[in-house]
Amino acid sequence: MPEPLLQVRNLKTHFHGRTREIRAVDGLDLDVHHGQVVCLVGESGSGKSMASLSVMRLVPRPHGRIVDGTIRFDGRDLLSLDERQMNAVRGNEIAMIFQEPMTALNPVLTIGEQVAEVLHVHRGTGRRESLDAVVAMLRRVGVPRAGEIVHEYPHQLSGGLRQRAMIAMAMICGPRLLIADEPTTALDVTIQAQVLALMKEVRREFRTSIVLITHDLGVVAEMAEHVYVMYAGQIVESVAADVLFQSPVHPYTRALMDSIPSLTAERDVLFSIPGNVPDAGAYPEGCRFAGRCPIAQPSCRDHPIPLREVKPGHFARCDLV
Amino acid sequence: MRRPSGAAAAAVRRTTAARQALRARVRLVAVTPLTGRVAAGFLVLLALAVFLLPLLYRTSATAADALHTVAGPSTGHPLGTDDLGRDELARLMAGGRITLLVGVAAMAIAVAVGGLLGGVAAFFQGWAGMVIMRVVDVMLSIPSFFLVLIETAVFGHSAGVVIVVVGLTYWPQIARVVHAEVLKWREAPLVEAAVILGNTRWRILFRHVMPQVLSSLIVLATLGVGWAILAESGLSYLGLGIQPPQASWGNMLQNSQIYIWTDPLLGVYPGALIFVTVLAFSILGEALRDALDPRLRDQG
Repeated sequence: MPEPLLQVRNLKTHFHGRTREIRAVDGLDLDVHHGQVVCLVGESGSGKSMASLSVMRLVPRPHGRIVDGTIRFDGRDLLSLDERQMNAVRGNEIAMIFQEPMTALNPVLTIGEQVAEVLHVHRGTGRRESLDAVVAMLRRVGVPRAGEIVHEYPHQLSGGLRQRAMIAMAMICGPRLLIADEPTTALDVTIQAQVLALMKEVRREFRTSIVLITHDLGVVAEMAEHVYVMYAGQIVESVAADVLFQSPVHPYTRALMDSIPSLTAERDVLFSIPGNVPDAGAYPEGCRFAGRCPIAQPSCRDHPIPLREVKPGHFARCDLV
Repeated sequence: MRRPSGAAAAAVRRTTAARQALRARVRLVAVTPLTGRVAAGFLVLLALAVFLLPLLYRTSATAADALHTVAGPSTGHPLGTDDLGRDELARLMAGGRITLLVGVAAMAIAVAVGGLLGGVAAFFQGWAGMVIMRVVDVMLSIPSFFLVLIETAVFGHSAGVVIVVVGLTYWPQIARVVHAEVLKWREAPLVEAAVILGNTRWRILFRHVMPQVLSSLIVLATLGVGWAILAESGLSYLGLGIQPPQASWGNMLQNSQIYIWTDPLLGVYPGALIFVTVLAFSILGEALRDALDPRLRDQG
């Protein structure tokens, strides 16, 4: 198998609080192959957003820092780049789109100026010459009336168009990797479907790998080829998407699947996982899910559980399956 | 549809952009309160009068007419003459030029220095930001006019010195407001997005953060021009600003004092002009604040 485009090994991103160390990402291993769509799934606070910010080397300072691990992107070690080299990677080779397109766009610049600016920063293109490229890019991401919209401001556009404009900004330099942090959460359902379809198309057309961060298993089913399930700063299950939905093995993944309301089964009360995510400042020594796990044994609690290959290509962080 | 040629398309784009810019400007005028529009109109007329009228009215502002001193209005001197027989109208126009020039130029300096230092201090923070803002605190704790008085006493009285001194005294006011606004904006998602797209820190500050502060800056600068004019007039009145024979509304006011009973109009002209001009800048500033801040506008 060729070397993956993005290879994260043993990544640890910690924050130091006043009295203790918060382990937001705690030993993450992750591979993204060329042209692959990888989903990172987990609930709030599981460390999935912090993992993506770590890849961009944008962990909020001064409290957060990457304390260990390697991030190899396209043969280079991102952690060894200086700020200037890293700026040349951001937005150029690795791009990112966000949940809230309204707040991420600049209200005082036109859409055209903002998309053109990315080109200007990375290619040195003048604003006038890049206009045609900008309009073409907006068309490719399905913006109607692109020739007029380049002159409009973000507040004049609908939510779906803003997200398309964000995607145009992300894609204009032809990045190899696109990280999408909950790109559909702030959009209504029909627009969500459109944006997901657009991301698929972007991937096909630009041959871009995509890391999709989400807590929505529906989005995972729609998009992913490979899924990483995160819990309490660690990967708890890693497997091809179709296998995950057929036969999840980790108790946490199974509980997540059970939390999805079913159209057919009759149930009065929706299933929810009992308990809370453990405190990131005081993870237990043993299995971090043990406190909420229906099948936990006393032995789960006394040693760190390794990620284990339960079937070929199917990894889970559980001793009991 | 046939694709328009490159040049034609570019022309269409330009007109669209121009039309949108024009529309934005028209909208700003429409939401500016009437008082603000009147004030702006007055200031435009004043500027035309002091800068363009001298092209038609060619009487010298400094030539003395020993036979007609402290004379009332006549055909040769529509507003009369002062104690040395100099034409009052010409002097008012010359003084207005200096006054407006000092006010606007001083505020340009204050906006440039205050905006830059306040923005940098808030955006980069660190020890440099700390030092800048403590300097601001110190300067704001000294009454501005006395600071200006001391500085002109030390550095001299030319128009250039007055401009620099007034500008460098007012910048902390601007720095403090810009500092607060930039502090708010540097945490905005659009800054995070700009970082992620590979912009450098300085580029983010000037292209993404400072434009958000522009409306506050415009309001502050407009109010500040009024303050600068008052400072210049005050200095000149006290003899520390623009020096005779060069006219300034401040030194004309001082000059007319002893004729307050013989020819009170000599004092009324420059005094009224200072008063109305400063008032107009204040009203315009307040009106612009209302127009540029949609939260205030909706409350009507």
